[in-house]
Amino acid sequence: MRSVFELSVALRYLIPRKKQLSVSLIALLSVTVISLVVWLVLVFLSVTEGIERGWLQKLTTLNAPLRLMPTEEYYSSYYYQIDELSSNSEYTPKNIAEKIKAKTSDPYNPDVDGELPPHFSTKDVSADGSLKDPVKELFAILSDLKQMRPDLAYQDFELSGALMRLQLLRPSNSHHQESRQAYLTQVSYIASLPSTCPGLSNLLLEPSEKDLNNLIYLSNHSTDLSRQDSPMLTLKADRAVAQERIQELLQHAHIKRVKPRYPLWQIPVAFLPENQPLEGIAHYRNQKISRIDIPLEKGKTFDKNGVKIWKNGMDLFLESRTGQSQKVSPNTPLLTEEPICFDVEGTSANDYLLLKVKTALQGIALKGEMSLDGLEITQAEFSTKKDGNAPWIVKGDQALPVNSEREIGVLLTKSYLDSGVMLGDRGYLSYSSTTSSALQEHRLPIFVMGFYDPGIFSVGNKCILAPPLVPQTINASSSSFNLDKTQSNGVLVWFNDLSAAEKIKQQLQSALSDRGLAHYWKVTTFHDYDFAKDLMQQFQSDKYLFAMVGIIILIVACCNIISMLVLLVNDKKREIGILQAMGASRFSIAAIFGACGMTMGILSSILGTAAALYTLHHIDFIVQLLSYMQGHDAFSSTFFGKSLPNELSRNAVAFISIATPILSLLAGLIPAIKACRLRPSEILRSE
Amino acid sequence: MRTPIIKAKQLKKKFFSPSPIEVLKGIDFEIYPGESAAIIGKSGEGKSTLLHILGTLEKPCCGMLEICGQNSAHASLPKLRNRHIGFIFQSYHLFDNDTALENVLMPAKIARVPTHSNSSAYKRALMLLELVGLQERAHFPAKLLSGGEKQRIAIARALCNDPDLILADEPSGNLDSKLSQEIHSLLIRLTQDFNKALIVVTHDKDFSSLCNKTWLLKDGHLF
Repeated sequence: MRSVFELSVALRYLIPRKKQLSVSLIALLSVTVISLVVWLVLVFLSVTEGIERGWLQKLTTLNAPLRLMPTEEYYSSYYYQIDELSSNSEYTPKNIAEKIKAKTSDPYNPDVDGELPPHFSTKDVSADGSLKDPVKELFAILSDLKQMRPDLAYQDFELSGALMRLQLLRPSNSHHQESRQAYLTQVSYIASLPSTCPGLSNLLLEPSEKDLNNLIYLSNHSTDLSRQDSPMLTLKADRAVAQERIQELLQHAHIKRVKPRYPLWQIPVAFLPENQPLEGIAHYRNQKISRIDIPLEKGKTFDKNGVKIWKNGMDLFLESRTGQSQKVSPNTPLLTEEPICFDVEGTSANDYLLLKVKTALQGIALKGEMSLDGLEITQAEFSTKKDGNAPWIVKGDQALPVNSEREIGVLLTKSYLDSGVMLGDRGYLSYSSTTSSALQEHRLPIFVMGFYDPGIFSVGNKCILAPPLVPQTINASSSSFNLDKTQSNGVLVWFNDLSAAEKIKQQLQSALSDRGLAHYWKVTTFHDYDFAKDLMQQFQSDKYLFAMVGIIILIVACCNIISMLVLLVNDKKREIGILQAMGASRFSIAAIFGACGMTMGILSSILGTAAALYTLHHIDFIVQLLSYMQGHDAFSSTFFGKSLPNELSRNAVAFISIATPILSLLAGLIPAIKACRLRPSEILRSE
Repeated sequence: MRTPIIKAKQLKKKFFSPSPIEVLKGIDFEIYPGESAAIIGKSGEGKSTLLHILGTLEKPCCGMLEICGQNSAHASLPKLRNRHIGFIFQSYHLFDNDTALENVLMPAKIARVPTHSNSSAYKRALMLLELVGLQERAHFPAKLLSGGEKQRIAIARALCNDPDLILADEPSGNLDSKLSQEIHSLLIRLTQDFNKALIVVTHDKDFSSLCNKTWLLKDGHLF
């Protein structure tokens, strides 16, 4: 509290007054400039930190913050190689998943199996003489670690490759053809779904109405030809089968709104209420009414053919502009001029699915039942219940199922959406195996069960997530892909606090060393991932660079404080003299002007932070504005996601809250030194 | 034995710019509590310089100055000024945007004593304002007050920290003769009532006649 006097004088000096207009203006300018710099630095650092955090989250979700990969020594060990020589292992090497499940660490039976070749790797045995089991012991270590860290999760993973071919069956725009089909072929990595990963659901994209429309459309088609090479025709599914599929589908989605697929919609007479006339324009052919166009709003039928039409019983009546009424055929097409939307009130589930719909046309309520044919769903609610039967992956699902048509559900990266792939699309994964005489192609039928956001660090942007069985099967038989063994099978370890990665790595390394297994496992944290290292370092450098630029701009802005305070010192010379005459020390005088600088710094920080908070709150609007001004997307969604991060970075706030007042205080020191060197006798004499 | 409030011994002051000139050539005097002294002399003789030296705003070239028993060469001058000296200037030197009460309380604030409405400093400031007849103007901004009122506030301010010595530099120089007389008698009365020592620089013979001592500063010496 010793500095209350200095602070009170400083605050009094900073209040704008008419007599010190120039000082007030410069003070205002300084505060504005510093606030702007604070705002800019905070927004930039918050957004970049948010983006980095998002990228890291995606990186550490899919690839885990820590990985344990078997080393070359593991693959050349007796433990790994013995499976190829043991009948108990069916003479096949085992991957990590199989090693965990294996009943015995050493399947070799000298009575049954052949003699081991000379120079075969020697057994690595523990003190009790038993064969060391690097996999089971690793999982035991991880299990122990989980006791200490309940947030720890781990899972083995496998990576393989295959050729994916998807059939994209879509409704045709042509009247001559009901469907059009295209094929998407892509060589892809296939990774096992990291189902125990706690953050997986955050990467999953929600199904959309477009997907639901596609699923309904596909339900009406046979799957028989989807795994053939470019079939020339598409087959409609059996009507009963299609209905069953659609009704099953609608167990998981609730349709809220629909609209006709084509703008001209024929209003069923049954939808019309009794004796409530609609306005329309009659079209004649051979002096007979061929159709009546009904606008959505009243008062738009200025044509001489304007009519009023209403239903009475089962009959339709028409009144022309001249007032003449006549009965017209109930089969006369009444067509809406513009697209009309319907609210869905429910469904009637008989043999054939009908939607109970309602809408308003010219203020008149239309109600009725209609089939889904020719309709497009514009709004739907998707079930988030984990019942395992949904045709899309629901957040919290731990597995990708095989559907009733023996197709395996897979997750594709969101980049496939740009290629036109939609939920429900079917196809196969093709891989080959070598036999003694030929290369044999295998096809695993798949269907698209969802999309995920891989971030920018995924192993290729075309990585397919599939049930663990898929990469295992492909790796076991494939000769198409020769992935490095030390990279394609391993153990992923997740935990919440990424900053603990190094500590956990050391704990694991130490536990492995204690058991004599350190040479079998390479432990890496996300900092060391080859595919992410460069980008992360670059990102970090960019951040430091901008922070430096920010500091430089801040210093320049703080120079304004120097000019302002020098003016203030000149302005307040007399008061400085009086204060000194009354006993104020030189330190007090310096502190007054230092406090002026610091107060301006703190005020600017508060204003800048408030502006940054407001900006971040409305970041989407700003991005839209920037995109509009540029004529294209200001930020690529591939890199930055759907929208920019809008959370104020604590680090940035801490940086600003420390840097700004310190720089302002330093800026205030120069005038403060000038002020405290003034000689009171000279000032008071000259007055 | 009475100790002097201020004791000056062979005080000298020389200015070197624009040309070397010795303004004070050896000043010796002592002032005791309750005494008042007027320094008179022609303009440029160094009256204000002497007053500033006595108020420790300026350092003498040589000589010894003791205030309340403390040698000014070794004491903390800001503390000495704040606790033992009260200044009154010709042009009042108030903080125009502050109220009369805030101006009076300023030395207490500098001394970092509590100045809230229940504090003794606050009560003393109100008492001083009452003594100078401005209790009703306590919450008026200083800039709205007249010259005479401003100088009364300056007197109250000089007495705020209960100093031992009051130094006044032509306190009525900006006032008309009637107001000057009022200020003179107020100053003399208050210093006597509070048993303070008063040194005043003035051209006003009537005022100097009210003081116990009158010294003429001429050629750098006091007569």
